[in-house]
Amino acid sequence: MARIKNPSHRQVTFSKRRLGLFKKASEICTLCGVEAIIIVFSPGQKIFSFGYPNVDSIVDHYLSRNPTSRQTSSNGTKSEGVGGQQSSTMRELNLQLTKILDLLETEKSRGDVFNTLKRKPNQCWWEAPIDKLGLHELKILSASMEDLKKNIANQSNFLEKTLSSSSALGMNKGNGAGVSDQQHFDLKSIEAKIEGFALPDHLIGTFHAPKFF
Amino acid sequence: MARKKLKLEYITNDSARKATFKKRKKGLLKKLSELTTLCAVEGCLLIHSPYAARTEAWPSRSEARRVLERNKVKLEFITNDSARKATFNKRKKGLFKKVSELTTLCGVDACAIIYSPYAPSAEVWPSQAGAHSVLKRFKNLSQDDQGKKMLDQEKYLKQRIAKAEQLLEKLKKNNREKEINNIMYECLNGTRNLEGLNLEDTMDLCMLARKTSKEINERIVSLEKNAGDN
Repeated sequence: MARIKNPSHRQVTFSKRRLGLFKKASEICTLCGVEAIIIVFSPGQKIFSFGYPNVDSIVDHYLSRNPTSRQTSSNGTKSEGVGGQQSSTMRELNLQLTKILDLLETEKSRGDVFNTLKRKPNQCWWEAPIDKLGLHELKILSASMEDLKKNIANQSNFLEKTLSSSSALGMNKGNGAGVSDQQHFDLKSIEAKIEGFALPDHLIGTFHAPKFF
Repeated sequence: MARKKLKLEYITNDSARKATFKKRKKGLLKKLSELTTLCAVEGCLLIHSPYAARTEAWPSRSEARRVLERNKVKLEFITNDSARKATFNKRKKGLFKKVSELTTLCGVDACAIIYSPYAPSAEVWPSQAGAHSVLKRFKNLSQDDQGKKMLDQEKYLKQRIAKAEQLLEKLKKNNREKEINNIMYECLNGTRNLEGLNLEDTMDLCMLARKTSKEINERIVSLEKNAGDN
């Protein structure tokens, strides 16, 4: 293990490892109820620090050359700080972090499923990237796409009618006409999106229609 | 048939090393597969090498993730006293090792200080003197400079949560795109029926179909133009 020669590799390694280090410090404080700080200078001489409960109190305590641990205060009574569970704020934050990391894992796994679904190119030539296809194949694909678009248009018209008729039946009292207008408007907004027009903010929410079934 | 005795040292010849890597990786995977089958256990293999852009995982990335997840420690105070003490000792050692590696690899200065009920005074890396010098440098900076990149645990956790939420949104968006892409190809294959789709999926599919169709037609025009030019 030696100093990394390449300055940009060094900087990248520093950033990654610094984050990992702070993560480990945070974990040991949570898991074991201890107090800790880490101070580190970057290759660019910037200073980064992490501390629980906070950097300053520990630095000051340490520099005051106090030989005793922070467990006992000056009059010899045991302080609650070190060795015990952290505050409820900290507990809640850790819980929140765990939850979102779990969601992240789930979403990653979902992504993996799609990757494994990739079919062999010799079976489904039309799934190859467009720039890999020949002119003849592209024309076939283009025709298939036209069919598909027609079918999709039919399907969405059908869905629109179903929704607007159920709203006409009073499922969305007083809003019937508004809802079916909304469906038409959504198709227009889709078209606008494709033509590259920016969708104004107040229309963005309208893209997802309420589900009646 | 006598096999040439293996010299257990780094293979300097690049192509020989690459060949050995490929062969032995294959063998290792085979052994892993046999182990998990014969003994009904779970296992995974992760390889980080110069021969692949990403870390390679077997049997699959998600399987590997699952296996690693099993060992995951819950991010909360360890109530069992002896387990807590053991964890503390292990992690303290690991923490100091990581600080050490960081300072060596990046040629920087650092210090770590831990107060715990397991030691009468502060445990320090690299040493009392080393820590003192870093702290003196720290204190000599302006309050502003000290505070700029300072994190307490609350701030740190909030930052991590925010980053994770951002990443989650991005992943969800990517996965949605993959999902609709997949649906489109299934429709083209004839393995999926449009009628089964809800409104939201139909709308997204409509957008993708139009976009893809446009790209295909543009490509056709470009190819025909090139053919015409020749």
